[in-house]
Amino acid sequence: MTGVGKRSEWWGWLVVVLCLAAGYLTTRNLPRVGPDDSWELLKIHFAVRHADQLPRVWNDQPWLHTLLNARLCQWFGEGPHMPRLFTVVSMAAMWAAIAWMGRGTLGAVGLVGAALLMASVPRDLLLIFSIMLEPAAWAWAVVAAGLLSGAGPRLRPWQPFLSGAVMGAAMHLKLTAVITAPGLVLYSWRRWGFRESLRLLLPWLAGWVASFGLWARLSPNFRWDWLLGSHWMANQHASADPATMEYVRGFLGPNVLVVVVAGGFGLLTLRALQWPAVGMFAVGTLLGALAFKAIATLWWWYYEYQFVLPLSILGGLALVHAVRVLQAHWSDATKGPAPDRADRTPPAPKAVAFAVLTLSTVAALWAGFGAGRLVGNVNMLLTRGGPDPIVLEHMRATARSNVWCYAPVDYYVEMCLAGIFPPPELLVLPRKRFLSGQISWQDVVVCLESNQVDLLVVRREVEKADPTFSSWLMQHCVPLEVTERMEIWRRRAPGEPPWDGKDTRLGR
Amino acid sequence: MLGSSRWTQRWTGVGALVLLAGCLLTGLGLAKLATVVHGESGAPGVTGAQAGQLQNRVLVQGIGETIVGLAIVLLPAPWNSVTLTIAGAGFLVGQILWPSSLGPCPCLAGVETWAAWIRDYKAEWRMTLATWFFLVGALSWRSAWRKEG
Repeated sequence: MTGVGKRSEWWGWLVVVLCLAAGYLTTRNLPRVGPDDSWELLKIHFAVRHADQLPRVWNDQPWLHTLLNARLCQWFGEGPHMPRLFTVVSMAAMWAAIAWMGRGTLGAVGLVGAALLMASVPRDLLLIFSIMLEPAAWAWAVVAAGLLSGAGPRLRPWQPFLSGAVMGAAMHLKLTAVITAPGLVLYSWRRWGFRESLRLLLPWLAGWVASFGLWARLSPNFRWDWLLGSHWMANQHASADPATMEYVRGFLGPNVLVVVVAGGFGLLTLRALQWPAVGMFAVGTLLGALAFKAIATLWWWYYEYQFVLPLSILGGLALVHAVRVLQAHWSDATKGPAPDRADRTPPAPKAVAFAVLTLSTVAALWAGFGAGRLVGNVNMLLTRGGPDPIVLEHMRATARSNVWCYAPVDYYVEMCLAGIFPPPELLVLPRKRFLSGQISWQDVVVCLESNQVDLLVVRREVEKADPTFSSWLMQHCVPLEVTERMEIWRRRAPGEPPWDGKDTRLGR
Repeated sequence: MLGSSRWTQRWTGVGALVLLAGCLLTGLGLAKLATVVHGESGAPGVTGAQAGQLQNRVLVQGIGETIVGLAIVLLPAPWNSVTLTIAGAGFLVGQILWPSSLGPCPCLAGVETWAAWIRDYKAEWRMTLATWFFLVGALSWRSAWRKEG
């Protein structure tokens, strides 16, 4: 056995888990780490405080993440620490599944290399310690693949059933977990062969149907027109709007160069590694990500994660293979007894050159592009801003007499801290909802009016830029604070005259 | 036979990689010299006396890189690898210790004007190239010594 050889994956996993633990201890109480943390935190806290109102909530994502974390918050206390722990534990489970699938192939070098590649992608580290849906959903989808990798010569029927059930749950965290499905197919085919994989299909599907159906049944609502229809309709509208398409610029650019190159080396290494099952899982997942990109608009940079994960695994395979080839070349392994074929035959000159090229190129790109990004990621984690004290003060004051308020996503953390929420129908109000035609500013105004919302935090370039909203605001509300970033308004008391446009406490 | 074998080794295996690195370094040096010939300073936006100083530095670096690159192409193993390792280590030390009083590093002069993806990530590419030269040199050097042994 070589130093980077068999079964050393678990040492690599231990290193990854220690890094995850250190990251969690640093970030556990930060309100915002991932870009969408505010959405998820608000949904979770709403579910804790107003569980009976959940059926009224429009939601374009499945409910499992919200319900699960709401229960954890009820047991262990509100705040970001429990949802963040859920993501970190999910990540640890994912790396355990990768280590298990890659046992004997990945080694500690491959596993730690893959994790380092992943962490060096700008802001991916934020995702790993976020409370967003994507990393947790993908983590459990990878675990579902890992459950197909039994230790014995055959899988028992409960094992594919469990794998299917975990996949069903992962899809209820976020439907994009299904992108890993081609990875599961290729993995099973490589690990068990075609006929055995067919035998596994039925129990796997049974597990998936049981789990997916159960979670759908337990969800406060489950509507395909919200879960899928809203995204597709928003895609159609966005593609015709150049301003909206600004969001999707710069996808897979120089920032992910190191992962793309390492993954490319991994693809070229697969044959030399005799098509390892974990590599086939990565290839299948990559194909799934490419297929998804072909049919969907990937709105945000964090969808790069769908490419980064499989490319990182492939990069890890390339690194460990290169290290093994050079180890065999440099040592006198040809003289002594060797446990596997790779050690018995000296590597060919071309293989040695390819190993040198792989190691030097990936390490050089990591030093040039990756290391700086990793440091930048850590700095971003450590310099995340706290809640806005002015908004928080007004929300806390309003919370004493009213349960509802309105604010854009930038102030969701303040809402959670104050214990005041938007009306259920407006809890999830992304831009996509407007683009899909599933809501209009007129609908928003009607909802604010019918729920007697008392406090409003509005943005000049969004809410106030809409004539309907602006007109309603001027007629029914008066301003409390006007700052550079936002304006705070309150509902006029009965009999109070309309705002004359003068008396404003500008920023205090 | 021995000569033929050595010739083959030079074009296959790590030898080819060292040759590639030597050619790349020569190319970088020649690009700098071309910049000087065209009368450019090597750093867009730098003018006056500082531009003259910068041009001298680009000239010296260009000549140095061309000579070292050609040496790597022509020297036999493992000396080509040794030269590449030392050059790469020098670039790395330069990257880390480059004093700000000297102004911008013209290490990618002549290349950065070609493409935005190089110009926008100059620091990243400088570190990448320095590390790559060093690692290709060091790893091939180790392989060459093993072969000799």
